[in-house]
Amino acid sequence: MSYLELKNVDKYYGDVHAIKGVNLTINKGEFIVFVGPSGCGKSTLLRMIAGLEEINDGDLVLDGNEITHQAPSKRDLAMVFQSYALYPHMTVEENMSFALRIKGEDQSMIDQKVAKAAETLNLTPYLKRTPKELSGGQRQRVAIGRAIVRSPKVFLFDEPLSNLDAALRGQTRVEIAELHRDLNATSIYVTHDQVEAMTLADRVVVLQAGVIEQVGTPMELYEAPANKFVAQFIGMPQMNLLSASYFSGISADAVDVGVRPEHFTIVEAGQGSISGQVELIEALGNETLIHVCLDCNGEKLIVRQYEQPSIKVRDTVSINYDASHLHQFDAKGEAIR
Amino acid sequence: MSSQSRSSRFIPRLLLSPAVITLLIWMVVPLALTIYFSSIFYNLMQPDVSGFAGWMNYEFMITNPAFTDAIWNTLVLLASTVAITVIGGLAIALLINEAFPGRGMVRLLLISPFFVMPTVNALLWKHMMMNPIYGVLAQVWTFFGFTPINWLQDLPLFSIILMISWQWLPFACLILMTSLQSMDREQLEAAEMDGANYWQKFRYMYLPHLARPISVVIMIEVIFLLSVFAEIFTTTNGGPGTQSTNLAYLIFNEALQSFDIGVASAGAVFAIILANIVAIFLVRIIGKNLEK
Repeated sequence: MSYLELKNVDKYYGDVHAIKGVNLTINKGEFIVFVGPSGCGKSTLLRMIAGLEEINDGDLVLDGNEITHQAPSKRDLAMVFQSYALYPHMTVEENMSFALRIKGEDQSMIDQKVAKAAETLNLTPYLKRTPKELSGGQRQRVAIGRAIVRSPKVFLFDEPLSNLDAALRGQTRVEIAELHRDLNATSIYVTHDQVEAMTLADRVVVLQAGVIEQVGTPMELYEAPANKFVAQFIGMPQMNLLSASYFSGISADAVDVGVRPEHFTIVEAGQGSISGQVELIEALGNETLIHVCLDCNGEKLIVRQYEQPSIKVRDTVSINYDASHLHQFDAKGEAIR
Repeated sequence: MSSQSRSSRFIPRLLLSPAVITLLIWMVVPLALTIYFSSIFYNLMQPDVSGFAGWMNYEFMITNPAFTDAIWNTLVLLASTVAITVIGGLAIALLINEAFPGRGMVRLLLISPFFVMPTVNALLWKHMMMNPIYGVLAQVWTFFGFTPINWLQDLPLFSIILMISWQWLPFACLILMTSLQSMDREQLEAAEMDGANYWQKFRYMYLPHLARPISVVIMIEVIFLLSVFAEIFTTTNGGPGTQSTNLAYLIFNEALQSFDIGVASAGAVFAIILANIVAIFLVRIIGKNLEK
């Protein structure tokens, strides 16, 4: 059942075709994450849904209503901005109630909604403070609270965690996930951080240069990327891409073969199918990343292993791959299934 | 330990003192001289009358019927010019905040009146605009079949207010325009998504954002407009009667028309008192805004 639907949506900036005919169907209660490199159009797409950017062509349908050219405030969406965009001269309470107040809703109703949202977000002690008296994480929660009190049909998040430090980012990520579970609200979340995408999303939309590369659950994207771009974009460190000549028993059309670092193993010299020289060993405690330079033509790969290695830099090693986890790509970069 | 900290404080103070002392002399000497002159008989036309005058000069100043008129005119001039320039400047700044073709040119033209010297400004208005026979405004009035207004005769104070507002509007506009540029776009977008219309955005976003620059504009304008002189001297000479005489012009009249330095100095002391009263109000109302 489609709730929010984008049909062939286009965006032009002068001659630049920023969003190239995007089609996407979002179900009610789903948490969708737009992910992609800088400048791929993910924020533009979100702002088009919000109504802050004009949709040049195509249709946007929300809950059966065509809203392509409606004013942002009439669309029944709420947005959490990257800078939070809190109103600096208003208290937390005034910030959260602003939309309801200018709509002229009943004061007791407003108080009730604000109190409830504040409780959900642990903001009750801070209601009388102004944004500058709050920490980054608290401001973030106020921004979310401002969206919640409006009880919109869809929540839009524009890189909401990018202004937080690493520790707080992880914590807030968990809170957003819990919040989504409690409210069960349809959400669209834009990020360039694949960890956020993988952990929060019901479905991830990978964008590149204004085009959707793949839509799927996080695990689908990880285990069955549709093309080279998605394969290399998802996963940290990146999937290794090697020419097909290293591998046997693969499709004749395959030009490149992708192997995730954890699907390589280092074996005793001469026993593996690929050999090379160790260039760098990154010991991260729980795992070790071994960068290997293949002697034949300078190609490089990364092996992830979970035991402390006995090898040293400049050692020559032999490497085996897990044949059940190969990703084969044809000349156009599309996956061969 | 304590002697060390004392000496470490002594040297900076020593080094600062020439500047501070110069400033003090600069301020204290004229003030002391003014107060001294206000207490003696000192009329250039009657050099034989001299000596201590007590409160005579002050009494003479206060009982002068022009004095209350002058204070009233000063305040009316101040309040109306500040109101016109701030409201008008805000309106224009908001109008030209959005990008449109030729915005740079429009901004340049808007700011240019501020570079016109006060005397030139006054002459421009006196002859080009307000002359009842050949002035532009007279032509407009005649075109629509009205009798041209003799501005400087019939509405002298209003004419002066008009000239000074024309000169200071660009200043207000410039300051407000630049601070509008620093308005957070995401905040406005958030307000738009919250359903605020233009008026509500103005009331809840722009106005609070501009509170501080507006305070600065008011403060600077008050400082300069308390002592308006050139426009009055060039156009109306304070007349007809005392209708466009402000305190600065009255003091000038006493000193250089009646040549009574003593009375003029007493007037100057009143001007200082008036300026301080205005300053107290300003600090009360606006100082709070600046502290934020």
